[in-house]
Amino acid sequence: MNLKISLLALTVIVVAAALVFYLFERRLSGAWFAFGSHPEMLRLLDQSLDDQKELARLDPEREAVYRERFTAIATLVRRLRILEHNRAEITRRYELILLGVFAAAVVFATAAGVLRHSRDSTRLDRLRQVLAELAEGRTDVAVGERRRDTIGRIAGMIERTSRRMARDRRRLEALRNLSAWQEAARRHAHEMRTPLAAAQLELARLDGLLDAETSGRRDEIRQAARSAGQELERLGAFTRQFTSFARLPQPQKRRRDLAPLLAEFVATFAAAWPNLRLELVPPELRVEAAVDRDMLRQVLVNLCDNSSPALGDRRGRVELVLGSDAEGAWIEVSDDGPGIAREVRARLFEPYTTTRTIGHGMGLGLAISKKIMLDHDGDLELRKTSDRGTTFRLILPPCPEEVEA
Amino acid sequence: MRWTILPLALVCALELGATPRLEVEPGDKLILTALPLILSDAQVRPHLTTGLTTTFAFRVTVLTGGGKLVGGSQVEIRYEPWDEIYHVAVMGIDGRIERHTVASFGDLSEWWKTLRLGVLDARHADWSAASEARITVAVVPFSQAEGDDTRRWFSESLERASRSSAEEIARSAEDGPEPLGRALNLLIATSIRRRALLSYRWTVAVPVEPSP
Repeated sequence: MNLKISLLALTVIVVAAALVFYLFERRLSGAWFAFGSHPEMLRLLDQSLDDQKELARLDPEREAVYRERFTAIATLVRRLRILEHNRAEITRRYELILLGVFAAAVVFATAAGVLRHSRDSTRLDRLRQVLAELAEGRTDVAVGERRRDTIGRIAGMIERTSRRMARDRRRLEALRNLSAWQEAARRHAHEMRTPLAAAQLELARLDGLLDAETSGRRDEIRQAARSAGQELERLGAFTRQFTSFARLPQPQKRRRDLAPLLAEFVATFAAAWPNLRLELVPPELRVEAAVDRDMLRQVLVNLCDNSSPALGDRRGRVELVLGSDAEGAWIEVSDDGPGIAREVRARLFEPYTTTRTIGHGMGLGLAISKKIMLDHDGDLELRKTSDRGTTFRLILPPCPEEVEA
Repeated sequence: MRWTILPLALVCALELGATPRLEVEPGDKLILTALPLILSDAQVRPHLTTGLTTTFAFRVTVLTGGGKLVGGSQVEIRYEPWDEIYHVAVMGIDGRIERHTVASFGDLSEWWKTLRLGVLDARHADWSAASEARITVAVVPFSQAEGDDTRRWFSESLERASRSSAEEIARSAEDGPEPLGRALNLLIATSIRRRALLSYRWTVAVPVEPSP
């Protein structure tokens, strides 16, 4: 509501109130006051005074009683006459008081209205500014509104929208990055698979040729061929990992109660990592999300696969905490390991990022996990890490109604 | 209200058709005498029998060459309706109060005609320099004590009117009225003032020599 409409409304209210004031004060209050000092009433009181005197004359024994009554009536008459004499002044004072109260109320209401209007204008300017920042492409903006009125609610919506935009932007960048890596992995796997297969065939043929070999170096050559075969097998295993990263399937999402799903994971994989104890903190309320059960399980396995070797010879635990908020469900996976090295954190979810020695993993686990969560319209975030442990958060969006259970 | 009093007073003065007289007594005491019978005025006389104390406040201003001398006096008349008598009190410039009781309005009128009010005690005043004196008399319908009594009674009545139950009235009697209510009642009750019912005004000559 703009200032003009506010002032118009205020004027109408003031005029209406003044009219009511006039009607009630002039027509009612004044009339009641006049009633108190009505000439007929005074005449009857005067008559009553005469009656008391007459009664005292006729009944002299009770003269004191009549005189007392007479005095009381006479006092009342005197007071009424004094009031009658001051009626105009009393009425004027009464009107002034009412008018003062009325004026004070109007001034207070006006001041409050102007103050509120000014405050709301400032708040709206801030909203406009924030929306302009959003329009210019900035995300994750903060309005700083704490009130719960309409403007506060709009500010909250803007903040939530900007947070979502920021997250979507991060997700999109991550997806683009991972897609590029996937394409590279796919090409590498493709380029490696053919010569690898040819080399393995040649090794098999060499093995057949060695059967006919009678020289004294046959066993030595066979040993070398077996060794080359083992290396080719390892190369094949790497190629398969490339392929599995490059050909990650799209999740087959179904509406699921996450608590039983996590409980099943904890029970099934209790002995999968000898140095890890898996624990689930169940939620107070039912938490549902649209997930591919196997792929979610793969993410959890990948995280535990990272936690377990990080502990070394020490025993530790992985805690799964399930919860939800306005933006969906989340699962926090925390371990009590040594944490993630600072230099790795920035590119943690990029493929081939690993702290392990050569030959002990290609660093695809977190990249695959990230991709799986992004394909769920969710995300995988590093929540915190220190020398007391690491927490990842799996974010899942609110479950759409149309997703089947 | 005040603007209506002045023309009314002038009319009254014209109707009465008489003026008071000033005399100088030995010792340079200025005496006001031969008062017009304003008690019989149509607006004054009914008021005399209301039981309220009617005050006649006299003010005399003598204009001299060097300035003016101001004096005054006061007469209070209260009718006692049970005994049907008039109580009269005259307050002179020396602060003394003379009280009388008068049995009827006729006697009161006679007493009024013979009244000699000391209005100015200007020792060694040079009366020869005095040109004229202005005499005003304001008829005030009730005394200060009666006004205070009514103000108190009215304030208590307002307080009682704002209480809806007997318990609240009893409690207010113990605790006293609320501050805001007390302030509002006081504001309304203090509008009771001793404004003059009407007033008269004359201009008379000042005698040069003391009366024989």
